[in-house]
Amino acid sequence: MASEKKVVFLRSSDGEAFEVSEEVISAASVTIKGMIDEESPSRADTAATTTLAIPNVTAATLSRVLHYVNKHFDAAAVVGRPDDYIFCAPGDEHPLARFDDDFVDVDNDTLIDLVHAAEYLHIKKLFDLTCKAVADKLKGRTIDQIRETFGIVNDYTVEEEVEVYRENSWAF
Amino acid sequence: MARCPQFEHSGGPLKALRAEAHGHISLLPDDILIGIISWLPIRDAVVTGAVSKRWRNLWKYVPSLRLTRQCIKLKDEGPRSEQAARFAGVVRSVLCHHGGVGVKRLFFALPLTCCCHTAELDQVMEFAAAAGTSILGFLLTNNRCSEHAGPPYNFPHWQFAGSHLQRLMLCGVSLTVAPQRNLEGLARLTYLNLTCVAVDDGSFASILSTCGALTALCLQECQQLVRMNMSHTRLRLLDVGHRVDIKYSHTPAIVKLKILLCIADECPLDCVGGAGALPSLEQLFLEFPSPLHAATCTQLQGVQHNRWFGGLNRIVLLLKTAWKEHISSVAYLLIAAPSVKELRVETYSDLPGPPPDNLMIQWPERCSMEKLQSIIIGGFSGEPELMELTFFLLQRSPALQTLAIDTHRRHLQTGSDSGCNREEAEDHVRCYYARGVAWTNLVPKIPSTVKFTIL
Repeated sequence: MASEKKVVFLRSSDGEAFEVSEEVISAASVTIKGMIDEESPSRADTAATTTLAIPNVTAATLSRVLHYVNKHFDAAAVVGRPDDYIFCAPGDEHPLARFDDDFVDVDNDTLIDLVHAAEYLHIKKLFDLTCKAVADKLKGRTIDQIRETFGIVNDYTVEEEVEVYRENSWAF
Repeated sequence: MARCPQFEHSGGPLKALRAEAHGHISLLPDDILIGIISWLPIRDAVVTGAVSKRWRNLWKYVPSLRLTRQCIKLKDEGPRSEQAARFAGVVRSVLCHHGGVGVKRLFFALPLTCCCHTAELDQVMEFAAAAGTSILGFLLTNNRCSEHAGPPYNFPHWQFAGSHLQRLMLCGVSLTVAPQRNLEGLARLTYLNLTCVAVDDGSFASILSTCGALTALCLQECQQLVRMNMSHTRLRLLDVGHRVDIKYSHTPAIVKLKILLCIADECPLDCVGGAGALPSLEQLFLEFPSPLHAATCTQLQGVQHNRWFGGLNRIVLLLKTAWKEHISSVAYLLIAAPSVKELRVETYSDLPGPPPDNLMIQWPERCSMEKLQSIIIGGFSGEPELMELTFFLLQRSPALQTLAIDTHRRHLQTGSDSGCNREEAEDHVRCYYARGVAWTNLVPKIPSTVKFTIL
């Protein structure tokens, strides 16, 4: 075991490599932890650092994901108490709440890419955060607004549409 | 992030159409879309079903359902009974069309009554039991502490026998243990929250002994509960928000305790439980409906509880009334619990108090809060007694590192979000006044070693 902190390199789909602490990324991503565990027997005898290919994620998205991961999973950087689900005294706010709000304040395409990446890398907290952000863009909108925002084509026939409305008449 | 196999490859023609544009929502597989929809209030979730064919059934697979006033978003018009009837209709419709597969969380909070809507309430219970719900909130909000609502709905815990119910939150129902029904449905609970639940001492004792895995227990306004004998090896959190006589006979695991303190002439730590009943206690939240009386000061003096509460490092005091000169009791409490590192005082008063010159506070002499590192005063409105407390603690706490004052209003009960603009404007004035008081009087007395923040 080397005494200094181990790092791994992640190569994005478009070929860019990013360095990240092995400890941090293992805590964050179930997928990458699995990859590292698979690699480790062969790695023990070579001193070379590991490079893992992340074929589904572009460099732009991966760098955002790593920014999030370093904020949320680096034990040294995390401030404040661990999540305190029941006795939160009034006025308590998660210290990273502001960071999270800014993090998902991006255009739709970037956000959807982040959802995809979080799902692929299996980072539950990021997946929930980004899904919630997409949901916020759907919330309180009319059907036409949703179609327009996300470019969804209406493929219902008139009869089908009437049926959907009738089935859930209370919501429309 | 569970996959729904039946949806795995249904990208459809849209996928091909938009393949060049990465980041398009239609490229996401169905299970991710379901993950997104599950964050929406049920009304918006149902609306997404009309967007396109692919979206039609997605909402029917959300693993988490919230059936509440806010999520259903019906107009608040007509008499209550009509509103309730409309809610009942929505509940029927949603539960009927939702697949009911794997609904892990179900949160139901609607003003339905036992006498008028038993069928719907039974439907909700059957749905939850059949769906294998592990987190269930069932709140009949209009029964809350009202006399003429008829008998409360009896929570059918027996339907959950053999199910996976782990977290349960009940409000406005009754929970009875009938001899012919065993409590197997509750046996796996790790979290139990009862608010305005009709449960008597005997039933509660049986529930407590059945729920061996329970780690957190919250009780609010369960008026029938008078005496509790706490004997539980796993319980870590206990929150009792109303007056109950609690005996801590065997509670080795309790780390956090929040209680309403009504007995005024003892050291609060004595009421919390003496003689090592709470050996693991680290955080103590004490809620005071009235001031702790200064008459107790002499009794408190010299009492050291560090043998029993060696791990107690955080005390939060929730003051609901103005304490005036009784504020010195806080100092005596700190003397009695010398390992406390963080003291937090939360107040709920609205108005700036009277001018500070009529306060005669008797502070304890010759004492030092050796371990105290952090003081937080929340809901500060410029109360002179809190200023005095802060002055006193600043002088007597050599290890103090941070002092934070938060002037934002504290709300006793969350839930009533009816904050109107006028109130906000008044609160702005209050905050401004409070910050002014803190800046002008406090700042000159803070040593340079203490980090001071004001919000």
